[in-house]
Amino acid sequence: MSETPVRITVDGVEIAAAAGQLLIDACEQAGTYIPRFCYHPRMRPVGMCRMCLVDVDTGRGPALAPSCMLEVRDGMVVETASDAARKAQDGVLEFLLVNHPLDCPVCDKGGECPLQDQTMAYGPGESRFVEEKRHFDKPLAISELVYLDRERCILCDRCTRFADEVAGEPLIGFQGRGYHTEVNTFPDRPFDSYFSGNTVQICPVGALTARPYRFRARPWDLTETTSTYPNATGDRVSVHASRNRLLRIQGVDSEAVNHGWLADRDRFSFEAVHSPERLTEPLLRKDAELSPAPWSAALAAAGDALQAALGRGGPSSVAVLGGARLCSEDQYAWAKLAKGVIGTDNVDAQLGDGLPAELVCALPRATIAAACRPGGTVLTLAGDLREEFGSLFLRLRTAVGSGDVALVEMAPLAGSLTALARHSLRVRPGDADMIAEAILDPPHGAAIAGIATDELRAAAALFADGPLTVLVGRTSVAESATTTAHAALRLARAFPHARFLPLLRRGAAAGAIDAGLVPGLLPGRTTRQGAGAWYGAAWGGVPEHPGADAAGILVAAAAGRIDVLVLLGADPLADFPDRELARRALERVGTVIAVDVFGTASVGCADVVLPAVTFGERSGTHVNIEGRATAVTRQVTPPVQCRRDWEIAAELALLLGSDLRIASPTDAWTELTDLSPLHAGASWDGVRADLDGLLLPVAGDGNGTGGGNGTSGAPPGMVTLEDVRLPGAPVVPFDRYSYRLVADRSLYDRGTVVANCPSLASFARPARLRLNPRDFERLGCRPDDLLRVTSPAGAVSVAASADDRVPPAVAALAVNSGGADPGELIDIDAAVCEVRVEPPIP
Amino acid sequence: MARLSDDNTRLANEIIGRYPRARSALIPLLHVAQAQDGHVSDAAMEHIAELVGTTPSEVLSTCSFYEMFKRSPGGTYRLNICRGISCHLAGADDVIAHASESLGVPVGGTTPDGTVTLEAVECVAACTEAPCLQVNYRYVGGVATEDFDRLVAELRDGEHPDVPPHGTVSTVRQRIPPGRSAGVSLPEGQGPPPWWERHQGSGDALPAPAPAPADGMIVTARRHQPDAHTLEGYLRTGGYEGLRRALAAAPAAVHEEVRAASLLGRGGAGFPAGVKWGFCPPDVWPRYLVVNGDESEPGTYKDRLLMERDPHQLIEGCLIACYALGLSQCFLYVRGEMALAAERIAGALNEAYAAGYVGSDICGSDFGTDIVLHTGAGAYIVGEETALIESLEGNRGMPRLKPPYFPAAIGLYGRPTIVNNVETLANLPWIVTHGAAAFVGRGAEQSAGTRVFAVSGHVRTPGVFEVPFGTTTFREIICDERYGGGIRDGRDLKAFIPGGASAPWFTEEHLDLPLDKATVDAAGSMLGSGAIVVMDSTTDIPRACHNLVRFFARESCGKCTPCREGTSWLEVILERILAGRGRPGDLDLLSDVCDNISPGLAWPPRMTTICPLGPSAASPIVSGLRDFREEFEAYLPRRIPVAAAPLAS
Repeated sequence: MSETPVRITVDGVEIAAAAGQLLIDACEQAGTYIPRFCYHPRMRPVGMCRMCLVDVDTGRGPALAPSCMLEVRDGMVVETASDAARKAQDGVLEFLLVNHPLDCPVCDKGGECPLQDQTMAYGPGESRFVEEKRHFDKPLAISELVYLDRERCILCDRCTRFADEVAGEPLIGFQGRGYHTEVNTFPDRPFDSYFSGNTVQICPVGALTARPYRFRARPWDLTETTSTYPNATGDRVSVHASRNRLLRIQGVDSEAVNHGWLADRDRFSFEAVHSPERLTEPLLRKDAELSPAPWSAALAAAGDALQAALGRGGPSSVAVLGGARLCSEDQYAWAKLAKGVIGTDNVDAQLGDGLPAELVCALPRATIAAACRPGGTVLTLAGDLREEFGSLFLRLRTAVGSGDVALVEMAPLAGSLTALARHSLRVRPGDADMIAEAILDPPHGAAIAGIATDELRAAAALFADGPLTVLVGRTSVAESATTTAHAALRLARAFPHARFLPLLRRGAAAGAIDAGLVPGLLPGRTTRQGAGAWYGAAWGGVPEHPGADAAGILVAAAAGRIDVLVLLGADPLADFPDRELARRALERVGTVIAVDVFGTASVGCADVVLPAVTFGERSGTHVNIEGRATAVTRQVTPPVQCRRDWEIAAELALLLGSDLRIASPTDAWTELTDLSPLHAGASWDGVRADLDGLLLPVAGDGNGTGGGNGTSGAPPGMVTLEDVRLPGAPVVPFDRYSYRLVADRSLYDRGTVVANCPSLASFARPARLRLNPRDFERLGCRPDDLLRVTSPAGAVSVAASADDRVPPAVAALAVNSGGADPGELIDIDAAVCEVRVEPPIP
Repeated sequence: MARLSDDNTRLANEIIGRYPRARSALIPLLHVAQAQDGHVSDAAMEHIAELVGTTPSEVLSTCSFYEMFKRSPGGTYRLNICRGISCHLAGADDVIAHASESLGVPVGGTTPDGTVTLEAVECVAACTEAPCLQVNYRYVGGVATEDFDRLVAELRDGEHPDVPPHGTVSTVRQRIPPGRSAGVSLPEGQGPPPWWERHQGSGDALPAPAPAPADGMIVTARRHQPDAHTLEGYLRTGGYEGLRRALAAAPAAVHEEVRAASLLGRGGAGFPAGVKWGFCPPDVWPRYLVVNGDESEPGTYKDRLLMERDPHQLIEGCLIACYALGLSQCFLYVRGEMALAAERIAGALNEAYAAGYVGSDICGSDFGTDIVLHTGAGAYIVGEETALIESLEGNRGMPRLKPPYFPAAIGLYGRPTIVNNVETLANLPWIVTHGAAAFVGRGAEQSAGTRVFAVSGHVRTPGVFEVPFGTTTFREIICDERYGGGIRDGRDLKAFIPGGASAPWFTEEHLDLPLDKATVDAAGSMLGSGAIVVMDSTTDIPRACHNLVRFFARESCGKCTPCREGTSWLEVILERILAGRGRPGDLDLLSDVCDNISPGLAWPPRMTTICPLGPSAASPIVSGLRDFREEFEAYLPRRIPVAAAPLAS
């Protein structure tokens, strides 16, 4: 798109438009809405419905043209409501209604239906079509989530285009021809897509409906608020409720974040909010049983345990794990309680499945939009984006698929973007840093670790040339984060122009790091050493001793050095990579205080259980992986006894004799913006003024430098690359008799959210051990054979399958699938997890 | 109900190997599946999806667009009785009714013995032999009811071993011998074909033109030569002379000769081919040639004749076009129902490859290009050039919007593509051999050369005639003994369609107009695809109208709302009128629905649609209501005023 604007005349008024802009968009920007059904701004225009016909004169006299297919040209004269345009639009509307059923009274779309609205506004009073309308069986369940009513369908190609172009899963399509055209699936091949809900949202009529919302409400009975879904990208959403129940979540088109798209797991996860399994009252362990207790008793028990621990083992005998699902305000309150009041640095919002917090803070930060901007290169040092970062996957797929962005992959397994990648480097577990080094300095010889040196050189050339965004995350929790961290650090030093997007999968993990809910750091990506005095002055104290991350905390707990462990919505028994360590730790800890929404396995080990509020029930601020702050808005009242996490922190502080001076989320956010150089200038109202929120730091250039406006003295400096201290990355020689384990993720797992959504729970399937087809054959496997997999840490039995996305000598097993648990095989201290796979017993 | 057999899988991979994109092989592979099982099974579609790298849903989406693909088993023989306008005028409805009765099955049904499936189909381009039918895509012309019964008896008695069971269309396959291929031209190829640069700037002119033969025929000169479709027969009568002459000259000189010949496109729109060729952006490569052999306009029968009788002439024309423009691969798209044309072209290509006329090193030169025979599967709309490209890419044949999708700029795989009609290309060998001047000398000033017209309907001697373009009049071609021979049985002319089903109708007053593009355009119609359909005084105009509208409704691709919904709405209104259930405002309603598809009902048509198919459906209605409104009114129920009704006694 050129920068020079062009001038066009719309209905007699001259307006400016961007060169190359579509006429329909230019008119809308100027305040003239042209009706449309097939056009969708995030998809290729097709000009099918013909509703947007307008009279356009480009110098050869007025002629009808579809405004969704026409780019503006200087001097273009457009009449959107001339007699000819009106007649054409009325005609199209009548044609659409010819075969459209008159079932608006029982249609979910009624009340928010563009076709209904158009007809009410401009349509004819009665139908001139007197024959029988077209009939189809209805509705048709095209997947477990989506129903299709082909009679209502106006064949606009939106859902089919989305499936094909955006999601890359053409599982629904037009069938038949002309009058008999219908949208449908292939027989017995349902529309099983992680993103199917988007088609329901963009359907301009009631042809596609989602099972969780069908016949649940009428649009005019819904209250609606714009909020942020607490996932890593912080997808902007519209939350719909009626009579204090969440009924629907829709994507909101944020230019910066999600373009309106959502993964189905996020879209339909609101069901968990109203699950009967919710924790709705405090519990106290009495006679080895957890029993309901009043809040006062539960809080007193927690307070007593903390006091006792402080007295016995000092601040370091208290540890806080979790908090990555909370709002920034909650995270800040807990950071202040733990570090300022209790004085412990044993605090980690990540559960051994993220990245070193210092590194995350120090790497110059990228934005999602910059990663997808045409002309750049994206390197992924991460697992399959589709499984964990839905909207980012869709945006990146669109950018890469259109050829605008060059993609280079470094991952042990092939994934959903592999087919589109310019270079796909199969990096064995543990080899990431070695390959990064080889990219910077290609070795002699044709290949290293199975990757051609020519390919490494080509990748290096792409990195050096033009904008580079590195998406760095975890390809596997069976491999230490250290190698990936070293690789990222190496690339950051070699390519100063590179920007990084930390792919931390836990919803607000990035925000938790920024709020200081991690070891070694204080709010605003500052170090304990650098900003200790600053926060000490404001809080009345900071930890004296450096603390440990989740792994260190659990090791300390297992060794009996932790008296009180607070779990902030954390379930280490399910989520920490090393199962045995988590078990030993929780057994040994004196008192476990769990603040949670559901009774997880770890909550079952707790001594004090405090029920918390969840998404939809709280207001606050979400900070995503870009460092973008957006509003989270309360839409329903929580169960009576559930409390806000910041509130619980404030109550516990009072019991410990301190006042956090936080009485509302606004208090917490305002204090954070006053103290933190990162959050400075991002006022509560400022965050809410724009759909895209505010990118932190507000005054900075988005790469880790920003100013503070602290209440007194100089603002503390933020973490730089020089501050990052990583343990050495051991190179583990390849054992040719072993397989290296990749413990990866799938969108639907046995996590509490999915498990408590009736519409989603059945999608989580026990995982199989995926092996390269040749290994599968070599082992003499047949489908469904049970294999015995052993590592130095443990053993599991699991059914195996052949998967050509898995390279030779690698075995892949998804975590938390409800089946065999890779956590039983993982030793958190090992750089990689080598496993033996025994052939099935004949 | 099976996946493709091992042999067919090998064949499928061989076919896929001819295309720059595997997906382009989708329709040919569905034909392979249908030949294997007699229908296209779900399992075969799943297998094909694997072979071309897409989902079964996408395969089904394409498959279900095309008429010829059947998803359930039928009889060994499909009897497709044509009900196109020419056959309709010759009594096709009676033949269909008789067939249904004598077979004891409804249209679409299969006889209990599994021998015959009866179908009524749209025009199959045998309009001069109406009423006609196809047995598994083999033509039987002039079918009276007793002929039909005899044919069925013969089929049951196994007397037609030459007709393969349903599924196999062409019995001859194109085979490109190893080492003879010029190679697949990938769309991401960077430059022009390797030979192109060497032929630039030589400035070599074409050799002096050879004297033009006296008999006046250009493209049908070999129509009475029985072996014209063989390489030997073609070479004996000057075949590939034009190609040799072209190769001796610079490509630009060939292009210039074609431009000078003012060769108007023979497909329907009548745009000058030489000018169209010039629309290729100069530095964008590769460029493709797509031959439009999807002749389907009701009343049209000329390209089929040229493909069946003189395939080498078409091949030579393709090669000349490729040479002139640097086109690096040619796709020859033949209408699926034309089994004999496909067999003849496949045979001709196989011979031409072997003899060095197609493929690499053509005629011993460095020029080379592959010609890939591609068969369609039954969809009229694919004759529209952008829909043809979509179809060739393995998709549903749905037209693209022009602009921006002018094929010469953004065509096959988004690359510059020349789409030319069969007859247009068939003229090239003659033009290059005998010169543009001789070509221009054959016709009128703006309509150079000759044109091939099919004259069908109520004339005494229907036929396909090549006549001087622009000078012959309608009266001559309809009434002259050399051509149509006058209205049958000495009746009067009621109306005639001058250029295929899409063209507005003419009547008596237009008979003396010359068959000249500009003149016919100015008179409010078009010469279109060279299809003249004559209706005599016995013609039931509303029924003829209904026949044509039904055709467009059946063939609408469904992309644009006004066409998808409007054409079928027009059809049901006409149906109720013909059934005596018309309503008082129905004629105005017909006009207004037409107006919403083709605003102002003007000529040339304005459109609320992407392509002209929708507005084409308005042509017969507008023509019929304009000239024969009383015939429509006569179908409307008479309203007898209550007061005037006699009291029962």
